[in-house]
Amino acid sequence: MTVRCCLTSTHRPVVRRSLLALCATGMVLCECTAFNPAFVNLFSSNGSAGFATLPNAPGHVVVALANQTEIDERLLAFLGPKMNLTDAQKRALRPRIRMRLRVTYVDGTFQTLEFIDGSRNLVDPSFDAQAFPDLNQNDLNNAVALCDVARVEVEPGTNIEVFLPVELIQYQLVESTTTAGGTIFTSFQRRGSLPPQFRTLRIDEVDADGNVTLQQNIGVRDVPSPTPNVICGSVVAITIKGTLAAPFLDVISPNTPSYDIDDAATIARIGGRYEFIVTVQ
Amino acid sequence: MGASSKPNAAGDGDHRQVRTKATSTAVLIVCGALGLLALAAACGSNVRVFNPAFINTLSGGEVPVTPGPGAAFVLVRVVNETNQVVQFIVTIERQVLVVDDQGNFQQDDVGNFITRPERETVRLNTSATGLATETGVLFPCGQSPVTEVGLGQNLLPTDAAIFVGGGGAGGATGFGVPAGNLNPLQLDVGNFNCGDTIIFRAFVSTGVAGGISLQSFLLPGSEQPSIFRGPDTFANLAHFLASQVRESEGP
Repeated sequence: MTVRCCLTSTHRPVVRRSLLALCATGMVLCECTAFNPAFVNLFSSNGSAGFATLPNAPGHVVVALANQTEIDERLLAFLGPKMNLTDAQKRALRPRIRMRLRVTYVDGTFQTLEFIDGSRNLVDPSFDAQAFPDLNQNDLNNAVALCDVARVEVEPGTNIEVFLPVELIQYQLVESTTTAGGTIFTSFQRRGSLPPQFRTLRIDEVDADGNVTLQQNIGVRDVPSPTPNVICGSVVAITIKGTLAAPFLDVISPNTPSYDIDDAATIARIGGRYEFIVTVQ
Repeated sequence: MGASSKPNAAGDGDHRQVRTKATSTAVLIVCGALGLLALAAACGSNVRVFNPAFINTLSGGEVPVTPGPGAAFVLVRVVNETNQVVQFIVTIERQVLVVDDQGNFQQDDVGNFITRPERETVRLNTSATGLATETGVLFPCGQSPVTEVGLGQNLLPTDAAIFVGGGGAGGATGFGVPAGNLNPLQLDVGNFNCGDTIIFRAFVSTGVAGGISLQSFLLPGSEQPSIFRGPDTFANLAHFLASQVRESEGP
């Protein structure tokens, strides 16, 4: 509009030219790229022209997943020799985490992103890794959304999962006796097994007063919180911290991952303990 | 112009001419003030009239649209202009440093680091309408340079580059559109550099099988502004990731 005013001015030519020069100087001094580069080039040789013929993006919001999880030493001691890894390779192992996020835009449309990150080789070699296609999928730990983003949150109705890389042997404590009315013996008997699989991380159960009644994988205050009204150009970073762990039933198999199927507290903690930190930068 | 075309007019005509000039001067001043206000708003004043995203679309300089030299990423954007759900299959090839059993980078006799090629494929789902028709992904290119970027699982012309109209889990249903002559972009021949943005666009096109065509665009990072009025998105991400490196991940 300024330029149009300058060009269509009915003032004397000298004044008009001065105004035009003032406008041009203003644009160049501001290093403002609000105008067509070809037009700016008339006044400044520094004007640049882009390759793309698509319109400029309005800006981006990056959603990133930072996997800062570790593996429990006892589990690593069990897996390490089987995987035949060097110390350096063992140190580089990270639990494989999968979660789905929903990015909702200001126009009401949304995208669902499936983030997956962690070591693809973190699985007991006794099991065919090819049997777990999600394990072989390439990592996706960031996404770039177009501005403006209204909200970033965990996709409603979905779970955050961690890959449990070992088979868990299931035992049950049973009572037996040799004869009717005789002495009762208790012993653990094998009931089955849980193969390697993605396991849902569950939030602690709490009572009406907020007291934890069953500790599971994620504390009630450590869940990923939704991020509303994300400013254009921000980075929404979701950092996962925690330790992948598997239970060992010491009384019957201290060297093999295992658990008592009647031990609800142990079952609730299978997969380890995690916390999520959401930051906007 | 009308006033100057009657230089010999007298009496009331002269008064009208003076009034016309006064009016045009006032209009000019108002125009100038508005122009200065617009320039101030567009060029860094704290008083923002427009949405920064809108200004960025028009002029840039608010927030980065490409990683640029300040952040070692290649941004791959996908733009769906088909009015249907589209899944883009983006594949890159990078040169990964080879490490020994102790985790040290391997070097050849001359001292160059030894690398091996490694491919990564990600699937980006876009919606049929709205802002969700576009998305993107960042590939780090600092330590392990990205050497090739294209569509399709194996970067072959016969590969399905996109799936159109998919509605199932993962979006990989619908019909596939082959990459065809949309060749992968290569670092070696200067198709792109670290810091650039590569844009793949799917759009409705008559006269082709499936009615969907593909294009690629390049937004060179070197030609983008380096100072922004808003957040420096990609540099912020780089700093965040650098702060997240674990001790055990060092060379």
